[in-house]
Amino acid sequence: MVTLILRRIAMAVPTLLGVTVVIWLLLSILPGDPLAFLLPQDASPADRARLATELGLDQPLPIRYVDWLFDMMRGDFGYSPFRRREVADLIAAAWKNTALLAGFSAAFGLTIGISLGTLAGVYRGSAIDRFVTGLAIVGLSVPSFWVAILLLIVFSAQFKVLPAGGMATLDGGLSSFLGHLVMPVISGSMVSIAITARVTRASIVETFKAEFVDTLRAKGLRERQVLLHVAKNAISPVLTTTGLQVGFLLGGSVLIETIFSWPGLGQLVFNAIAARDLRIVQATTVVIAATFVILNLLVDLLQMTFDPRQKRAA
Amino acid sequence: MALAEPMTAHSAIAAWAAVDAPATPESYLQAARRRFMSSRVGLAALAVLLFLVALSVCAPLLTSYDPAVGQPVDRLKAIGTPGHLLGTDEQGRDMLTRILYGGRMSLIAGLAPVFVATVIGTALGSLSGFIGRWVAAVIMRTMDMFYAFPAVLLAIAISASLGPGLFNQIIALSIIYIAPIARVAEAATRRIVVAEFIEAAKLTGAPTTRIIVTQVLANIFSPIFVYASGLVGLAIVTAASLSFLGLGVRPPTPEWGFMLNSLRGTIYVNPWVAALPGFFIFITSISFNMLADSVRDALDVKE
Amino acid sequence: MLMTAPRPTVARISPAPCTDDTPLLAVRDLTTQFPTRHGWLTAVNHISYELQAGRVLGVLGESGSGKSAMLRTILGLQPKSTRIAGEVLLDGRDLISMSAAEREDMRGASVSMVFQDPMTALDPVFTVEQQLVETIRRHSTLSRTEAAARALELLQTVQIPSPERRLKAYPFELSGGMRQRVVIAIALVSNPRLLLADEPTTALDVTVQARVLDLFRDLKHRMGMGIIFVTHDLAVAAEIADDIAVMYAGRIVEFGSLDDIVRSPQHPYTRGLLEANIRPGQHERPEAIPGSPPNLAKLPPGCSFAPRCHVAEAACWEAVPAATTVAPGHGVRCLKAAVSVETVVR
Repeated sequence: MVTLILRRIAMAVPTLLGVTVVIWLLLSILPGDPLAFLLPQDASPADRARLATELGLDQPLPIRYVDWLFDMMRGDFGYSPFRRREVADLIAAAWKNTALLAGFSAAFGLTIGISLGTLAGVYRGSAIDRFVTGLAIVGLSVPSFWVAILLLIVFSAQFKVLPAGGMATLDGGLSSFLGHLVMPVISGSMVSIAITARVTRASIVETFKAEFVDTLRAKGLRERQVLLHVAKNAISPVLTTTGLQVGFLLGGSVLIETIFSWPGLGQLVFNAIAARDLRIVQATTVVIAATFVILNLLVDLLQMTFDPRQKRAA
Repeated sequence: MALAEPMTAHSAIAAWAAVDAPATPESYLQAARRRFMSSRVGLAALAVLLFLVALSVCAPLLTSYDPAVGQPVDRLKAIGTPGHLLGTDEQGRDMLTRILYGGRMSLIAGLAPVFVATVIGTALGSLSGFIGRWVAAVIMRTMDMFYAFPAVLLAIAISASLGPGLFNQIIALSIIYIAPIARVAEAATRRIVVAEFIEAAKLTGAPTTRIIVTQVLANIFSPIFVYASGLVGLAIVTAASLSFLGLGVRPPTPEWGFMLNSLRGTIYVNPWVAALPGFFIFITSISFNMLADSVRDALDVKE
Repeated sequence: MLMTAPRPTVARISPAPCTDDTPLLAVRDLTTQFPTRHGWLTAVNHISYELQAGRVLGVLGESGSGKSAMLRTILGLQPKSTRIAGEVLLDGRDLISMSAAEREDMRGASVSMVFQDPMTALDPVFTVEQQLVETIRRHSTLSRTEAAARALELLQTVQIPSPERRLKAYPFELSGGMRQRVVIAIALVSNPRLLLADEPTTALDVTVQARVLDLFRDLKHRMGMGIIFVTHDLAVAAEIADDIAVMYAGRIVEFGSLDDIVRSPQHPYTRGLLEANIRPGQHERPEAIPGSPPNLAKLPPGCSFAPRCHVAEAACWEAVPAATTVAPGHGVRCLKAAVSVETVVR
């Protein structure tokens, strides 16, 4: 078990390195002038050359990559002239807020998605099944930022029951804290609900076809007990997709946080794009991708506990 | 012993055998076509999409307003205003006109990346599936790296570094869809390569590239087509997301995602006009998804 | 010299009636139909028989003959869309007309079932102990500890080596034979009156097969339950069955004691099965019955076996042959049975 866990953790290291290579290559090689964002409009060629040397842009590519990587590993993401702060500080502050939003969204999306998917799978072919299947295709197709705007129109503009944006801490009371979360969580987790419901339904339907379900019924278990067995067997594919879902949540956070002025990584990226501060975009992308890789790792480890074969492999 | 009337028995046997007789065999594509034509959802989705495409192509014939220039006195008219069926935006431009023209950009921004990614991804995937060994290792492990990113975020990062614009947006979206398509193509090719007819082609000494083009591509078409058609709905939404963030076509060219963002500030004044562009993104995306589901069922491809 | 065949009397195919005790199980006119795109598929077609406690009925037939469908119908495991007619009386109580809740209480208590493939019959993510204990507690008021003790006892009953260790094992940690013993142990939890066994030895190696058959024989003698043992293998049926029902295309085409069936098979299909079986000293490959079973959704008119039968005549195609009694407790559905008797006698 321990060896297996360690091996799985070791496997994440090359992935993480790969992530940095991809980001670095894409942002260094693709056309686009990194200096254009940092230099004033009237900069002379001499200014330009000096800045290039200062940033090490005259070095060969591999050396520039290694420098960049080591800087990052030391926690040095560079300085943002536009925000006048260390990028690392900006990211650290925003990361917690994004984690809060993504955590609530994932919990909400999984709960609703698994419940709907299970209902549809157990009563397959019924009206509930058709409703959930329809809902899933809507959830997959609907743009989250449109849902966000619809929610704003209804709950903030028309009925004025929910705050239009911002984040509240628990110090301001539970209702204010949750009130600020409601709309971002709902609009952000639409895709999550849809995917979870679909995968759960498919997994439940597939598991119900397994022969051991006959044995369970033949030995007299109540349908409710049979369902518990089926659920434990069906959970694995659902867990596998949770990693994917978090990807959607983190990617979608740029839009959702922008619309609801949520002070997280997404908003940081959006503001950096607007200000053409590529350094922040690059660093934030690496941080989010690393978070994503580590979350997938955790999901894999959690999955092991549901699979007796992996549990026993010592 | 009295025998029963033989004719009775024979006709009974004949009647029974007739039921069992197989109908004229159908080709794969004929069967797929029949299945698709009997799918009401698929046909409805196709009709909606053709209607949307026709509207955006024929935009200049359907409206006399300029999509880029508005009358400031006509700002923020509600839906149903005479002369402005769908109201006007914050600059007094006719919404119907902007929606019609905007569809062009949204459709291109969604379809083009899937097409580009399908071509490149199929090339990479079938090559590694066919050759295997280190070629496959290099290509597919590289593709794996792209799976370590939330796709939308990667598209945003690439788009941001390339700068705004339709072309850059298409590049960014193409990059994120290459990896999944390459995976599908590689898996499909590996299944095919072991098939006997490919072995036969190899034995005749045909060049690798020709075998790939003639034999492999013909046989991996269905799973790739099904997968790629499923991506279009997603790509429409993702493209609109990039535009929403200001990374798509530059104003004043209308595009649904960007329109949604610029109307965001008017939800307190003219809420339902502000929601309109999103409605069209949604209708387009869900139609593509339903169409893709029907195509998958018709081609009988298991996911 | 041609003998005039004795006029066969029309009778329900059933074993010799025992005068003093009522049967454990009486199946009357049982029919099971599944909906298909081309209409109703009749998997079990007007089946009737009786089974006494302490006896083993071997149900013999090819795959698709309705043997498994019959067992599943008895236990109420068929999907809701299935159309079921007839009666299945267990100690006089009809299992078919039971409510869903009554059926849940009946299963695993008075009637149990052992499935064909032990590799897939157990839940892969629960231990043997968990799967036994939940069954024990479902049918008794034992505490968790008492149930665990009972589980161990059951594993001893089915002769699993080092049972303490096996209790904590997951199914994937056990061999096929051991898994089948666990499946049997689960079926024995509340000493059922009736045990349904669906090809329980087919998926096992020959040596393991023999030992599992020994176990079944042992259970029959010790527990006195009635067993319906479904198999496609005459040799296996001969090892364990007291009576044999031969099924073809959803109908019982011949019924009799093991001795009747083996020594004087009446139906051409039964004889085909016997010939397809290897006998000692036989060197040639046994000849299988040519052709394949009919599509159950489109049964031929008349005798279902007629299309494959080498003695079929025009009359066989016209109506389903009635059941006739050729000897006490030995019945057959074949117009040519009388002629067949004679052939066998000669």
